[in-house]
Amino acid sequence: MKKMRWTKIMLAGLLAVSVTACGGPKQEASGSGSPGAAQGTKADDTKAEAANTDSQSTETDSKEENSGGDISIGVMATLTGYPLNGEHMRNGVLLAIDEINKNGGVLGRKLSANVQDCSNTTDIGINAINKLVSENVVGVIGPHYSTQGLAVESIIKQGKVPMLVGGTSPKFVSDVDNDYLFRIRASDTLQASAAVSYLVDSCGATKVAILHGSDDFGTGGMQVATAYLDSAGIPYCIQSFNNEDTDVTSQILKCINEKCDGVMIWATEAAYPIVARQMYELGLTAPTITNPSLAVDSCLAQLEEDWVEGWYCVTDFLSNNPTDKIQNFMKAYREAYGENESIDLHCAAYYSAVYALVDGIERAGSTDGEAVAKALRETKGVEGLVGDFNCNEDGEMIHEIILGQCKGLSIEYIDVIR
Amino acid sequence: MIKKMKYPLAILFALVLPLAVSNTYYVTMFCLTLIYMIIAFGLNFITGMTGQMNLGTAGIFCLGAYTSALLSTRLSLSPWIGMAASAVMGLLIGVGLGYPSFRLEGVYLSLTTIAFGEVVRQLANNMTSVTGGAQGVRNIPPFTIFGYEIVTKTQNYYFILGFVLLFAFTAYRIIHSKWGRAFMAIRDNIEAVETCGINTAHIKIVAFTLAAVYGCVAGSLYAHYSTYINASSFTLNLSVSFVVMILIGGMGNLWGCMLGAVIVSMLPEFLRFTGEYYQLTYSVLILLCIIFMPGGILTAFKRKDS
Repeated sequence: MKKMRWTKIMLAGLLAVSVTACGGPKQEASGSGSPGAAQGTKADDTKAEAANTDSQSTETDSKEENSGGDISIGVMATLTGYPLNGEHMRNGVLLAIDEINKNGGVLGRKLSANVQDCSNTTDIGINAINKLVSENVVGVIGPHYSTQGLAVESIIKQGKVPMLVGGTSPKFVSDVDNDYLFRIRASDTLQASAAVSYLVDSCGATKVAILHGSDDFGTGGMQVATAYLDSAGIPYCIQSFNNEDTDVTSQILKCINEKCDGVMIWATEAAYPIVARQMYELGLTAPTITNPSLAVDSCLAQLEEDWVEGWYCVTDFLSNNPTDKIQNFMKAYREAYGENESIDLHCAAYYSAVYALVDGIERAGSTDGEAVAKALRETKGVEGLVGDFNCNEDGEMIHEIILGQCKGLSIEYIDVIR
Repeated sequence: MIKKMKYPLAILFALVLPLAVSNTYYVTMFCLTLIYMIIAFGLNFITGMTGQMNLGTAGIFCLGAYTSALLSTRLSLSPWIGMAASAVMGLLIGVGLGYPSFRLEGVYLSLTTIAFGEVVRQLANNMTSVTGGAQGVRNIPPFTIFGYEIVTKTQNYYFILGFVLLFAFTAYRIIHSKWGRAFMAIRDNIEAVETCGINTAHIKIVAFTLAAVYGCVAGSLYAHYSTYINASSFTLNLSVSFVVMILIGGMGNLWGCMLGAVIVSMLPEFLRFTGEYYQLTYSVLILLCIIFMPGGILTAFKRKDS
């Protein structure tokens, strides 16, 4: 009985210490040292600073940090939750930071990353961005999903911190009036129209089935595709599902009954195992094209070869792209993180985003958010792995996309569409 | 002495908190914690006191948030009218959810409430023309008091704190009224209550209605505070978190609800220093608390003291 009481006291004490540890240590991964150390043995390279019970002094420390010490870049990554792509995103960012630091840093100072988990959840994402803004990061890289970006964009606008997001929803950047918001991947306006036009023009589809996730991302892709098909006078059949659904047979059967001879799928990675398996089982074998999720290793790992053989996809990045810049990146990445480490668009897109942000900081000549955002608006010809960065008036920085085909559970490069 | 002064001390602490910790990151967390406290007070009536498991609280929260947000953005009505409409929505949900609880109990009632939460979320996600679909509702106006807009995080904190005090006082009065005793009697021995000729169905509806009104008003506060809502926030995970709040703090106890809301909403944030293991650490801590203190943290120590 006495033991139980002590257990209760210890547990309550532990909770109290955790909750009252205001200004808890920030997870800051410095770019110095090899990114392999930063990632592979994160504990060694993660600078866990002492708990600071006074939030005011936390703020002061951060301000000092960005006025003389390291230049801190915020990263909002999905390190917990699903789809779990934050680790790749962080790896890419740390690799870029390490390369930049080895070449002398930015404005004579070293770069460091302040990585925060957003768990792909709105409230956790809001907390993460508030933490980053309060710790005075120069810019934020991520989040990867448009819905999260929409939830936090007003916070970065208020905090005057430029944010380079990966969400590709068409309305995300163009309909949001925010001078601090930039997109570092091709928008769905380009991706979805490229996908559906390939289905019609190259695969000869005369009636297109559009299977899309019911979230912001899936709906956005569907809207772009239907606008294209309407203008081309091609009939279509729209079927939506929730990304976490475990049964989409009714939607697939509807597409079969409608005699669709081309399929476009626009959904997050989570949906693909179910959709691909059930399409295969129900015999919907028409030419199929998808959004970049299919090209993500974690997605391919959940699929059987028969389900997706011959499918096409549009994507930002392909590891078997033969160009020098991609192959050099692959080599550097594997040297840092190991030969067996998978490399996908998350690594490449956010690796490139660091270079775009650093270019902005250098041209601004300061770490002031307003000046950096202004410089980012004027970005021209910055070479990246997912295309060259050229910012337009909407904050769109990438204007090209790769077309690939799935063969033996690997995506093979076909062409670049601009 | 401390026992007598606990209410003024708690209020004083709440009042000076944003002055001592003015960092936006923390004040944002405090605001969310206060909103969750209101929901926990409501859930305490139905799950904590009446013993009816409700895993659809996120659905109630969602309906309250969307009702207020849509009325103020689509019809340009005052957020106050939106909040009143949310409260009415709570009444409707309470009656609607209360009726199934006549015949259902245990796991079946839990499943019904889970279904309710999911239906609401799917409707919010798919009724694009009304709710904005997956893109949600943006630019929700803030509350105003005599033309003065509640905009900053600190202003929002004090505004929401006012509601927490109001709802805590109301909950306290209800708990210590005949209704409170009736709720607990149903939880402890429903057959005995029925034998006494008390209409248990009516009491269950009252409990559900109270929980729904609290949840919907909290939803309204959330919508106007965050200025953006989308359906992806109102998941089953959130409903489970609300149950964990009252479970870990202490069921049937207002202090327990408050403590639970603080722990569940703030502990994961303060565990961020553990990197990607913070959710795991948080879950293990919660699990250990439930194993070693099944009646909640406050109840565990109270029993020993008494």
